[in-house]
Amino acid sequence: MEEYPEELRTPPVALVSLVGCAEHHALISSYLNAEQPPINTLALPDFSKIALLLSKPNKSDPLSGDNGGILKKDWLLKHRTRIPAVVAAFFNYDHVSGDPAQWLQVCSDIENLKNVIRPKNIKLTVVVVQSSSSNEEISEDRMIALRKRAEIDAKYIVVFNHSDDSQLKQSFYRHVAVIFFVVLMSGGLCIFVVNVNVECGFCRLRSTLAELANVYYKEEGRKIKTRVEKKSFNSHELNVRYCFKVAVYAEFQRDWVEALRFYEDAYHILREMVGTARKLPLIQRLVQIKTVAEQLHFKISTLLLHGGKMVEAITWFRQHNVSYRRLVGPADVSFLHWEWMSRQFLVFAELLETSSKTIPSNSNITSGTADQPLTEWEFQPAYYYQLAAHYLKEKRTSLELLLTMSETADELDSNAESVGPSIYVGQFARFLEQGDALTMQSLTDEEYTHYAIAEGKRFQDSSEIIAFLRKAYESFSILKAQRMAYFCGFHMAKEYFGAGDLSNAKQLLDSVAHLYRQEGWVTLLWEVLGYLRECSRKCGAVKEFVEYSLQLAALPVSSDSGVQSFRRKECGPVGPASLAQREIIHKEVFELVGGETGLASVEGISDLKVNGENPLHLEIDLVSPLRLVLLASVAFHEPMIKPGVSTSITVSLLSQLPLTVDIDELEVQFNRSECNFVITNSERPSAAIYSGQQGCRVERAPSLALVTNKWLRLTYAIKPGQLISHMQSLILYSHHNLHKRHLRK
Amino acid sequence: MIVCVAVVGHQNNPLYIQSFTEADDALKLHHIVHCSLDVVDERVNNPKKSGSTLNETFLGLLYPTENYKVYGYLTNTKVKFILVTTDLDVRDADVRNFFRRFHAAYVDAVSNPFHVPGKKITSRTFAERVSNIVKSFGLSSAG
Repeated sequence: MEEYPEELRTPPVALVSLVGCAEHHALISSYLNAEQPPINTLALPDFSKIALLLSKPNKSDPLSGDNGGILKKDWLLKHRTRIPAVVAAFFNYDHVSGDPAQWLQVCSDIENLKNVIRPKNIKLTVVVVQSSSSNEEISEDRMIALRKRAEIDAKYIVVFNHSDDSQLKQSFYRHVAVIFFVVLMSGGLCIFVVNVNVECGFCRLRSTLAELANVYYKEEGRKIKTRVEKKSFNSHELNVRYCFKVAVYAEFQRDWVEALRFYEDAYHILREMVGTARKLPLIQRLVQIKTVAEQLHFKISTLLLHGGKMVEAITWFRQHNVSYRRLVGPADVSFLHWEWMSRQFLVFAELLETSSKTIPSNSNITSGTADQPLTEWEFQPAYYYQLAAHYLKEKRTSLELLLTMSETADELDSNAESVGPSIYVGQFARFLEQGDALTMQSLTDEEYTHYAIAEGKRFQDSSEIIAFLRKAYESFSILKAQRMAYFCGFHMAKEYFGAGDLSNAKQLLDSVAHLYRQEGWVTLLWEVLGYLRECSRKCGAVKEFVEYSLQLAALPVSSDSGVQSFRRKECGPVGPASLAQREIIHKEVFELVGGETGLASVEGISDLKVNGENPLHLEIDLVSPLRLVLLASVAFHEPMIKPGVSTSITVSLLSQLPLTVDIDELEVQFNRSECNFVITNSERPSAAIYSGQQGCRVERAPSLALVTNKWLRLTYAIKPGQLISHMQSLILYSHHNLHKRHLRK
Repeated sequence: MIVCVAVVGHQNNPLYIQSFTEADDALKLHHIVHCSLDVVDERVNNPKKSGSTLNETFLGLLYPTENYKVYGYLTNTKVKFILVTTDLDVRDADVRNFFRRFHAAYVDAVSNPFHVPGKKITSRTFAERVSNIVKSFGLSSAG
């Protein structure tokens, strides 16, 4: 929203011009500006300046050529800062009632002023400033002469009595009553002298100005409205422009209903223009239409939301989205479309966010039309922030694609330099300096595309995407929509990952993985674990890499789970979720823990290996996610054992890894170390590496192969006299080559 | 066209999820189904706010994504059915009808004595039946 110019973002404020008697301008300006509704002032010290202000731009100005433009870019600003609705001409009492020479000067000033403002239909009010010391009244004749000279109604001549400035200020701020004259003359020349305090005196001036300003905007609006009604235009562009102007004039009058109606009319006519007769080249025309549509849409949404019509605003936005989202345009510039889409969502999110503070949140959410009910999320800015991020990603993708395809992109940069926004909203042109003059040249679509690409390359979208997602993430979290929040979190993590900010990525991914694990969404977990695994690989964190790899390998995804068609791109760094992929990961991780391969960290300084010097300990406790990989259970055959009586225990192991795992050695530890024993794999005697205490009991098992999803049960007798009654705690160590996995039971 | 249907259990765990698209967007659909559970929770916890009546199994449109519409249904045993469709003009009656038939298929599937409640539905008959219901979506609105 900040991208929009101020005059578009805020409702129009009437502009009046104060001319002459410059010493009073500051006070009057600040007063007019502080009141509700505010009036902006354009203070000119003397009468000669106004002619400059209102002078018409040179018709032969090359920049004003009509290139099928819809809205002039500076039109709004012009009415906010340059073209006053009313000119208030200030004259000193002395000059009005003074000698003929002074009076003549007054007359000529008024005459000049009239000549300047009349063609533009600007209203005039005359203010006679009387010093407090002089209590004389202006002669009736002079008053009539003044009125006639200025050709204004008597009520628009204001006599302004003041003490010196400092006193006036004091009075103004302290609200001390001073005498203020307002002379009203009507018909039979009555003079009323009204005693009011200064503030009310200002009120009087203000209301006169406000009234005249209103008349001005009304008349201007009506003039253009007549053109719209009589259809006295020869193009859709003009039709849209006229509707827009009528709407703006209505806004100046604070007639929101009329403003809304005409903005909507302009919007609909504009929509019809897509695909009709074209003056501009195709791409630029579409860009222009979309830019104008964006502004009209923004005005409509703002008016609806400020009017408290949330449901209407959301329905309108939905319609806006439906109307334009398929208007991608040629593939070369599709990124412009996605950027535009992103901005629509972002701006609406911001609008919704600011207005939802003022509108009570518990509005009935089942509203909307019967066939198109609105849903919960559509009332939440978070929903729009998330989609703004989505489209910005879309933009980045298409721009990247474009850049990789066009080899000439670099050389075109210099060409794009002289290009900039033209005088119409959404149009661009090349500016050429010819001596002192600046000429504007329209662009071909090709030139425009080059310019747009050069501009597009200047921006880093990643941080913006993250910012939008973070907003969505936070508001969804507040709404207790944790799945939506984590969904945004996951996308945020992907952005961090892409940008190389691994610690942020990992933190988010871990929390997301936790949720997916908890709810058993394995396909989603697969993707997240894939990113986590890649993060740990890049960080060179061997242990984490092994943990994530094992989890991935043990995830119960198989090719019959209906997800075999996952795109590689879509699945993240780990590839599609399938049995084959699990097996690949399994082999990879066992080669790593077997010391056969190393892990290349992102720095690539050295391969990180798992070996005797770098042993790896994985602990699988009751809450470890690795329980999915390897589960151990121990059972004593007797519930109670008396000292001296022999009993047996069974150690059961279950692996979910896709391939069979051969264990070299299994160490069973009790809380009394003398009971510990080791089970070695008789098939792989050479691999036995147990280096525990001397004299420890060693058992040989015929095979220690863990087949997928099959319990491996090992039963051993425990020698009498070694047990004590509370022997419950037991730790299993399984050794795979040099490296240990702890199983705590 | 229906692009995805899902059965979601008490712990919000997927019991059955099947996508029916040629395009490679299955993962995206899984995300959509998962996110829609938030809306189901919201509707179930605040029935007044969402205006649904008591004992109404059909939860209506959960949320519109950019290209899909997501509908929900909650059985009396609190199992959730989610439907994702690409049709922009969907009649409520069609969706209700779909869910009714889907519910019947689900009941038959879990009535199988070999089915473990709370576990994934792996029955091939169920899959075929669902596939038929999906294919006939929108066609049988008159009947």
